[in-house]
Order: sequence, then structure tokens, then C-alpha cells
Amino acid sequence: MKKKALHKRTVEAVRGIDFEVKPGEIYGLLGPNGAGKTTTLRCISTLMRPTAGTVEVGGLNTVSAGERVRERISFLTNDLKLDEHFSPDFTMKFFGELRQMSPKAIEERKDVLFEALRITGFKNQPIKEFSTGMRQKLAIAVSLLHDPEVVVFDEPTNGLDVITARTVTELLLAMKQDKKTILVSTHEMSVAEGLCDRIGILISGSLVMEGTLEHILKTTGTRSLADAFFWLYKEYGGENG
Amino acid sequence: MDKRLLSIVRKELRRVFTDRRLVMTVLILPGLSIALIYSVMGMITGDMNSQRDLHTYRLVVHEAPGNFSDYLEGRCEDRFLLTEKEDSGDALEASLEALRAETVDGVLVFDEGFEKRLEDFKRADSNPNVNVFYNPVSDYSGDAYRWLTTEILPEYREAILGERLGNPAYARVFTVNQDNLNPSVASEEKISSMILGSLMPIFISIFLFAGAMNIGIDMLAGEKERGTLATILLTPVKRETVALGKMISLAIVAMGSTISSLAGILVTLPLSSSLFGGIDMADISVSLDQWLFLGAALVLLAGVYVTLILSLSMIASSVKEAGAYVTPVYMVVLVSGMMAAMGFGGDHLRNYLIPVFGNVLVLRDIFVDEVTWWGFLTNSGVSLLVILMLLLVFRRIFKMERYLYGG
Ligand SMILES: Nc1ncnc2c1ncn2[C@@H]1O[C@H](COP(=O)(O)OP(=O)(O)OP(=O)(O)O)[C@@H](O)[C@H]1O
Ligand SMILES: [Mg+2]
Repeated sequence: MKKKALHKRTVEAVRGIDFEVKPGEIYGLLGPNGAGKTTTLRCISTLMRPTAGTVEVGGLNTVSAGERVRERISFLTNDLKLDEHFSPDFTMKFFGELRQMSPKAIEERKDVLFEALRITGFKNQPIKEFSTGMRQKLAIAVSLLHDPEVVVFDEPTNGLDVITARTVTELLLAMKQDKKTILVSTHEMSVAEGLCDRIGILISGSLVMEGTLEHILKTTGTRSLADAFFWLYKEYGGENG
Repeated sequence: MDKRLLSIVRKELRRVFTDRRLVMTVLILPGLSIALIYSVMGMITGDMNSQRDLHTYRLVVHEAPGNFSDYLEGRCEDRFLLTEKEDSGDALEASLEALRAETVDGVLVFDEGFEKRLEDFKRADSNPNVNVFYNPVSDYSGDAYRWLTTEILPEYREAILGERLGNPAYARVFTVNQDNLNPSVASEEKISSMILGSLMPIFISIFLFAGAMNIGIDMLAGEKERGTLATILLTPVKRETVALGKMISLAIVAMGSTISSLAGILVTLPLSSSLFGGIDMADISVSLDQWLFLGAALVLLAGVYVTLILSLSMIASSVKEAGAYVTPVYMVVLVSGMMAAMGFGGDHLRNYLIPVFGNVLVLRDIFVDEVTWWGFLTNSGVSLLVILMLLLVFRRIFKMERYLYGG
């Protein structure tokens, strides 16, 4: 159903990545800094064009049908920012309009997300007065506004405290129940272990292993994901390629 | 029409008009600075005129004929302070030095034996001469020179001739403007519109550009740098729609700047009346077709500026870089405005073909009520072409992915 393949031959980028995420599944892309997680997710979310290979979301090519892919997808990454001058309330309205939602639908969805992410208390405050965690929560709310089928989150719990991080993982699990297709990237073992159904390990731009946690532990002959990760990192040469 | 275009325009305008800092720079500052400039200019020129009315002109006269001092005193009472010198050798050098140092406003040197040669005029083979020196650096000296050469010395000559003929009236031959107290046929209205007309285009053009520059750079390069543009482009909205929305918003904001500067001019007219020779507000009547021309010219000018600024800040990946690209264009705008104000360019139709300069020329023509269909249409055609070309360029750049992440 959903097939994502990406080959990128430029120096220091991703190459030879081929994986698939199914509805009702959370797929975790695990990799060290600079492995190419963000690059991969950018290509999937249509923000970047792969130089070779194809990426498909729900059977739609991200290059030729970018607009329709963007209708179905939610993308969260660190360098997508919201205008700090506006309040969460206005921001949601504006993005709802851009997604051609009715004013009523925007209101309803906004209330649900603000409640789930505990934003309601400061929904009329300008974003410039927000802390990192508040900003992250609002960015998540904006990205999920249109109730997308495919959710692509780049390090969603990065910089969040335990409580806020738990709010986010609970939201992701609820979306999994709703049969959404979820792809998250992380370098935190605990997130990958606790949240993901399947894990893909990305090292120096290559997908070196993928599968369930059990499968990875068995193949590498290790007892924990962290051990498996170190083993693979050494095996595949880390940053030296 | 795409309703999302409206959403983008609304958001951009909300961004600008709810930001106190931006409202200041776009709406308040242009009007305020013009008001300030005009008032100061009015005060300075008014001051200068009243000083001139009080000034006593200091003259050094070498070898003055016996009756010259009396003549001057009789004619201009105490406006001149005369110092008489005998020889014209070293003393002349000293006088000229004083003139250079602006301690003296004029130096007159009569030929040696001027008076005697006048008396022997029938036997002389040449007429005696008087040299007048002045210092162009000093306004007072220039005034004194003009007064001496065009009025006082010719009248002195006339008086001498009258003596020779036995009757001053014989020498006068005819009078000029004896009873005509108001020789200028131009109406007050025309004069004021000339002055206003030559100054207005610079101010309008500069403030339009400056306003659009500040906001435009922030709207694109700024949003790129901050990462907010990418968030918008992640929605299914077409890039064209985003581009067009920004362009329309910027044009509206730029018009706001223009209206503010116009208001500044109108508000300060009474204050700066000495600059414009006392204009009554009622004198500045603008006819309907002038308003139509003005409206069209302003829309085109805003279009050219907005597309220029947005294209340049689209290429840039940071606000700083965009500033570096837009500044040279700003210089062109400044120079064009000044040239048009000084009266250059209106005489050739080909000048109306030059973008920016031609636009300012048309604006000036409208304000001095000299707009021609040829000039207007030529420039409108060129402006539309420039806008269209820049729009295509802008759209193309906007569609290219790699420019969308700053840095
Ligand atoms: N704009 C860019 N221009 C050139 N190279 C880039 C650019 N962005 C990323 N890269 C390179 O691509 C590689 C992958 O980067 P990417 O951001 O995808 O890593 P990542 O796995 O997300 O790392 P992190 O955990 O630090 O976020 C890195 O080697 C990086 O240097
Ligand atoms: Mg990353």
C-alpha cells in the first residue's frame, strides 16, 4: 500500500534506503546525528526532491503529486517554524483555511488537539512568549490539524520533559489505534523500544537493518536495542562509511 | 478565485498591522518624516528671506566719482554701506581678499579719472568703464551684484545721460512695467503646483520603496530565514497562491506608506507656507482625470517596486543578503526622484521607457498638470511589461525547491 523508496547519491546524503510503513503501524527510524533521518523525512514530506529514486505516500508520488501528498500527510520537524507574532488560536485558524477546512471543522479539531496537548491555557498568547516545549506541542497540533492519514514526525519528543513527552507518545499511540500510518525518527533508544512496532536503523545514510525489536536483537545477537545499535554502528563503519 | 489567496493576504496584513514596530515604520514614519522635512525646509527658507530683507550690503568702491555715493544713498537709503578707496593697486587686492573672506559683499572699481572722462565725452575715443566683483559663494554678494548690474549702475548711467541731454526724461526714452505691479501671469495655483509637483514624486517614490523594502524583505527572506515559509508551503496550497498573496499584501502595505506620506505633505502645508509662497489649501484643486492618472500611476509604480523587491529577496536566503541586493535599487530610486525633481527627462519620450525613472516622470507630470497621453501610455506599457517579467521570474524562483530553506 504505502511504499517509500529513496536513493540519494549526493555526498553526505542518504542512499539505498527502501522501506515501507503500513496503516496502524508505528515505524521508527533510528540513527545517530547526521545519519540522514531528517533528509529522508523531508523527501517523504515533499519538502525536498530526491535526486534519484521515488517516494510514494498512499500510492502517490511525492514529486509528481506533491500537492495531494501534502493533503494527506502531517510533517513535524525542527526547522519548520510558526510565526511567533501570532497566537495558537490564530495560527490554527490560518492553517485550517490553507487546508480548506470549514470554520466549524477548524474549531472542533482545534479544541480536541488543544485539550489533548494542553494548549488551551495559553491559546491566545503570542508564540514568542512560549517555551521550547510549548512551541513543540503547538507545532504538533498544527501538523495534525487536518487529521492526516500519514504522520511523519522528526524527533517529536526532542527537548520535551517526561510529562510532555508522555503526552506526545500517548497521542501517537491513539493515532495508531485510528489506523494511521506513523513514521517517527529518533536517536533515543527508549522511544524506539517503547513506541515503535518496527525499527529501521540508519547509519551514514544507509538503512543497515530493519524489523521488529525481537528481529533486530536476534539478528545481532544482543540483549538490548542500545547494544544492537552499537554493534551495527561498529559493523557499518559509523561516520567513515 | 481561490479563497486561500484571501487567507494569505489577510494573514500578511494582520502580521504588519498588528505589529507596533512595523506600523511605525510603514504608516507613521513616512508621513512624520515628510512633515518634518517640509517644516524645516519652510523654516529655513523663511528665515533666509527675512534675513535678506534686513541685510546691509557692504561695498568697497575704488576711485568713486564724486557724486556716486550721494546717488546711491539717495536711491537706496541705507541698504548699502560704502567704503571708498583712492588707488586701485594694492588696495584693490586687499578689497578682493575681503570679498573672498565674505567680510565685504561687493567691490566696484571705476576707471581712473572716470568723472573727468565723462565730462570730456566728446573728445574721448573710448568710454570709461566700471568693474564689478562679487563672490558667488555668498548669497548676499550675489544679490548685491545682481542689484548693481541690472538696476543701480544702469540707472546711474541714465541719470548722467539725462544731465547731458538737459532733461532726465530724454534719457529714459521709455519705461518698463511702470504701472504693471503684477507682471507674472502664472496663477498662485500654478506656481504652488509646480513646486509641489517637483517635490511630491521624490517623496512618494522614496517612501513607497522604503516601506515596501522593509516589509518585503521580511515577508520573504525573513520568513525563509525563520523557517515559517516552509511551514506554509507544507500545506497543499499552491506556491503561486502564496507568491501572489505576498505580492498583493506588499502592494497594499506600500500604498499605505504612500498615503501616509501624502497626508504628511498636506498636513504640513500651512507650516511650510513660506516654502511654497503661502499656498491656500483650496488652491490645490486636483481634477478628476488627474486623480485617475495618479491612481493608475501609483498602482504601476507600486507594482514595479513590489515585484522588484520580492524577486530580489526571494533570491536571498537571509534578511541581510536581501538588504544587500535591494539597496542598489534603492539608490536608483533616490537618484531618479532627484533628477525628475530637478526637471530632467521630461523632454524626450524615450525617457518614459526607463523603468523607475519613467514612472517618477509620469508622477511629476501629473502633479504639475503636464501629463501627456504619450508619456503616460509609454510608461504604463513598460511598467506592465516589467511587472509581468518580474512576476514570471519571481514565480519561477519560488517554485524552485532549493531556495526554500534559508541558510
Ligand atoms: N542543507 C544541507 N546541505 C548540505 N548537506 C546537508 C544539508 N542538510 C543536511 N545535510 C547533510 O546530510 C546528512 C544527513 O543530515 P540529516 O539532517 O538528515 O541528519 P539527521 O539524521 O537528521 O541528524 P540529527 O540526528 O543530527 O538530526 C548530514 O551529513 C548533513 O551534513
Ligand atoms: Mg535531524
